[in-house]
Amino acid sequence: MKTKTRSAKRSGGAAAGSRRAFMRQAVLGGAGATAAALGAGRAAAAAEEDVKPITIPGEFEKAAAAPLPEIDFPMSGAQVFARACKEEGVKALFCCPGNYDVVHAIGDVGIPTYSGRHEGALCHAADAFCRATGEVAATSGTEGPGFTDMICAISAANSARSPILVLASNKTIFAEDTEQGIQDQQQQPLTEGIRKYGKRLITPARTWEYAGYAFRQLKSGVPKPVHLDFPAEVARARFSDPIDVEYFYDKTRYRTDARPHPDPRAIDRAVEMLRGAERPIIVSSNGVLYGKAWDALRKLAERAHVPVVESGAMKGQFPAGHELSADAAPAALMSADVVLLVGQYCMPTLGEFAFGPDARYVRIDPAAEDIGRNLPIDVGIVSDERAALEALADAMPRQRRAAWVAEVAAARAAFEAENEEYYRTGLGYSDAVHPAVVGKELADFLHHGGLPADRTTILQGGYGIARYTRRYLRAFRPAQIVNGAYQYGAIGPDVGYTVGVAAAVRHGVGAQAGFDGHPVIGITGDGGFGYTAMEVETLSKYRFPAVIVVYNNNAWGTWTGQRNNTIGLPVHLFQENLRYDKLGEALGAHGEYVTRPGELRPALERAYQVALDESRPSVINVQARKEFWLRDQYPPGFLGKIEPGVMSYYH
Amino acid sequence: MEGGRRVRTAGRGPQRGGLDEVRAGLQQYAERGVFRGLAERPARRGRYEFTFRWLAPSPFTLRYDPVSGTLAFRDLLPNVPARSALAGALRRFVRGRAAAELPEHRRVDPARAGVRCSVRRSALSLEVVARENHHGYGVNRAVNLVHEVFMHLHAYFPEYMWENFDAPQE
Repeated sequence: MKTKTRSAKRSGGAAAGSRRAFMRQAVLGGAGATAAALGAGRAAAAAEEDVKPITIPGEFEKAAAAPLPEIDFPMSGAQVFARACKEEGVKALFCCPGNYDVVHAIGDVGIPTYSGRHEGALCHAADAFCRATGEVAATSGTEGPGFTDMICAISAANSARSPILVLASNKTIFAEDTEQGIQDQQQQPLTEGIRKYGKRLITPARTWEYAGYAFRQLKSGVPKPVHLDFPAEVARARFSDPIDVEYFYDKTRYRTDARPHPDPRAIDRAVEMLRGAERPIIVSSNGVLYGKAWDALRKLAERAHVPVVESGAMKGQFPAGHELSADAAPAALMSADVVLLVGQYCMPTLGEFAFGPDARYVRIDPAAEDIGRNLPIDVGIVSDERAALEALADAMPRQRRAAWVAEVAAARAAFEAENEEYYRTGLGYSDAVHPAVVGKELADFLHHGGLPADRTTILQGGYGIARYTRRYLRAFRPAQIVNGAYQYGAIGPDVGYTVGVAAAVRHGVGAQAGFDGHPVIGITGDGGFGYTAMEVETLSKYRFPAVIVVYNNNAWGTWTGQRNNTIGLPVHLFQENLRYDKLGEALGAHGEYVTRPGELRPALERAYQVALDESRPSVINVQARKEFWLRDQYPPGFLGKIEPGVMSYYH
Repeated sequence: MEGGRRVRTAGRGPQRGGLDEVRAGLQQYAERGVFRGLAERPARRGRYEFTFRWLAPSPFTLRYDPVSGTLAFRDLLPNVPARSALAGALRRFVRGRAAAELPEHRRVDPARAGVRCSVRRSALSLEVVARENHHGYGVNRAVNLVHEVFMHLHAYFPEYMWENFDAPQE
């Protein structure tokens, strides 16, 4: 065990090393702590005004520079659990203060640990981290209020099928049910229905064993949240020797990385259907990311000449620029005669996807019990996604479907032309910024400007604004786009999500490998921004180069449906012209206020430069008007959507 | 027969050969689970009504006239005032379903069927009129047309779907 600890320390040191080096650089910079924290110009301005600048405390640098402790027996229950997390490759922890023993033990083994302002927002961050990377992240809150703050985020992660490990402290076993002190609560009943597995740990000697229970669930099948709560007797238990911890053995003994492989007869039937189809299409969803199946997907698509459309909680497993991408070709979807769904964990019901009533379905999913739910199937393939796609690619003859691919291309062109028309219309509204302008300018900057199209990872959040930006933004590599709140439909996680995406990119974890340290984009609305805006401070204190775009139309998205309700209307409205950019500045970010279409691109460029030069977040407050949702006054008004594809949101 | 989805027949033989085609065409959707349930009953003047659950909470009714070959979804869309922008947009969309530039598998072939929509008392009805010996084709086009109309509404008139078909607003 001692050797393993040292090994873990080394690998943890490497992982944390980049963070440490980065923090040193960020905090010290070239011009001292104050200048690095605010940017030299702003620091000077602050000095002139005799206002103390916003600074990052020196403790951050000290923590980053401190060597990891060498941890070995005697160990606490929290330390034993933290070691399991390290050995299982948990990539990050997102938390607020509380559950101190476990949180600090996890930090001590070198797992990057981020704290923020609200447990819910940080739980959202963990969700987004999983979706951006395909890896496991942990999240923690204190007993009682801290834990209940996380419920919305756990539920959102459950809908998104994210493998988050939810940890929370929970009083003592001894005082259970007594209401002694404060924050007494039974946690496990609250996560029923929104988790894959949950357990209140009550036997200290079984801590390692239950870590095994948790990671078996997190690392196999269809991922979902796992929730463990730690009474003090477990977290603070003392183990003098490995023999005190029962079932204390390597992970290769308590779980397997083996994956279910497809039944050859099912593959034969699927091949028969695909081979005979005139207009087949593949729907690629979450499981392609978690199964690391994007190469197999591409191989199958190219060999059988089958277009691919994406759905799900993250996008980019099939590149948008590929001639077989049907992601931005909604009008073609209804032509498909055979639909191969792969890794579509959150299943739509009939009519929620655009495929017509004559379409036949093949579904690949690791969970046999889910195949056939909601959408009737013609062939079910119980399998790990990559194994099934590889088997299909091997079994399929090389085919050409020129007419079908041409139809998809024509639909793509029609969609792009429609988007261009919306943009031109939007530019005509010059007294505020129309959502089509936001979408087009973002896409031009990120995909068609000087940046490589695949560089910037995007958190695609918001409500009404998302119905526009989704039409313009594209994903060119796995998990380049994280798809907002997704099926749970929560309004407001977006800045929290951006924290998770930024952490994933900083460390180049999983699907973000090779994109380490690049700026990220977070898109949200003014309604949503209100929920997690304080996490701009989290982005700032960790020096995350994130550009947050806030579409500010002075109202909740629900406003349109109530516009004739005189008495009820104020429920749906905010004060007008709020300065979210100033709020960002107050929290350590760079701020931009954009009130006309032509101002957006320069503001984006400045914010991106701040991200590059200072590794600091920005808040771009884009002033719009709520009336843009009214089709009769400001066509095209509030937009609907077609799923799957770039507009996908629910499934 | 799986899942108890066999069509309940009216106890009368088909009036024309088209009835069997229409019945079979609809039944295969029920057997495949596209429709949730399917029932058939005779209507006035030798017509037949097929009822099934599909894209909306309330059931759909397709009225079939074996003599004229008319397949009608009467009052398919409520709250569509005749002179509204929505009615105009839907009329244009439905007319466009027969356009020559559409791929063959998506269009309503005028040689085999006609398509029209009408608004009465703020309810929009859709009709496909199958030409001789094309009743099977007609029922397939009618079902696909309804699907296309619903997708069009989801894409361009989401508020109509919130207000009339309980589609989520978010």
